[in-house]
Amino acid sequence: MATASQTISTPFGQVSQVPTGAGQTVIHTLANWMWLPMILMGVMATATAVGLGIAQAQVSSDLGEQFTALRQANFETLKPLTGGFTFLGLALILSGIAFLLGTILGALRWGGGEVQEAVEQPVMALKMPWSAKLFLVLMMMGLMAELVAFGTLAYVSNQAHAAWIGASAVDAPGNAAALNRAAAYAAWANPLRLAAVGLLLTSIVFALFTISNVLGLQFMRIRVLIALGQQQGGSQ
Amino acid sequence: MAVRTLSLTRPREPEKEGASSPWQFGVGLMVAFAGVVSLTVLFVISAVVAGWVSDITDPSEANPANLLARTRTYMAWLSPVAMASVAVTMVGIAVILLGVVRRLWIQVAVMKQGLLALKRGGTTS
Repeated sequence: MATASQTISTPFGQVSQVPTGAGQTVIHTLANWMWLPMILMGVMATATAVGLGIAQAQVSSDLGEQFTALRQANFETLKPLTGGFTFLGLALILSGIAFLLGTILGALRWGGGEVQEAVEQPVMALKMPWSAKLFLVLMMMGLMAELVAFGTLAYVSNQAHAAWIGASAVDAPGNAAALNRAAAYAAWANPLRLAAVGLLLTSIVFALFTISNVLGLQFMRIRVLIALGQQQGGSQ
Repeated sequence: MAVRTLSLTRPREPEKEGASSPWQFGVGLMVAFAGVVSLTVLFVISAVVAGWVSDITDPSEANPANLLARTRTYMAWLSPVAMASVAVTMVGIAVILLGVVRRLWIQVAVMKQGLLALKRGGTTS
């Protein structure tokens, strides 16, 4: 029988014996707690973006009827803010999906352990594979990058308001320095929010790869348990 | 504590294998489909807006300023609503994944029963 320190190499990764009733790891428990709040926050951020978009459309319509500095400033303020909320919502929903995939990994680990315990066999589980580590790192990086992009776009909207509140015409901002600052920050914040979504999608790819490996190991283990069951039943 | 956190993803009562699919599969598909339908409608509206953009640069257009204002108004709400539709599709994916997790726990219960029976009987049939 394998001991706690014994590691077996399989085509699906390093496998070791874990104590019975070990359940899930801290990360799996965190995923169980976080997936629903993340999705709900994402839906709220997306709904806010839609509301801001409708407000921006109204301001744009008013601006078409008659130019005022306040209307122009409001329009330019709402533009980056709407984009920021839109991508924040997408990133939060993607993070929720990533946490749900973490929940699936936890269910496979815990459920696999329960099945092995039920037939009184040592519980074997995969050591945390490199793909799972990469999944976590990429997901955290993606979420952090999206939050930074959102904060920057909030600053851009603030600067855009300062730039246009003293405007005398559609093409004559009141504060050129603030307009330049807004343009400079928007130039890298917009690609950053897309890169953040890319990181989150990549993390989901690694989560699916990990699930594939864990499923492979589980099927291999079940074949062993069935063979053992047949041997024990035949010897009775 | 850990069991309490699983209340949404792990069925409280063991369900029968082969029973109808969890409701999450049907609801998730419908939500995702609603997102795709919304995106299709928005795509058609975008094509109309693209026509206006083309007309703005047309020398024969009587009032390009009005057309520009109307285009900006439509573009202002089209983009966030389109992204919201993508978000709706993603929520559909999440609901289906929730169904997958619950189905997984049902399989665990079925597997435990099956392997125990096999161990006692010594036959796979």
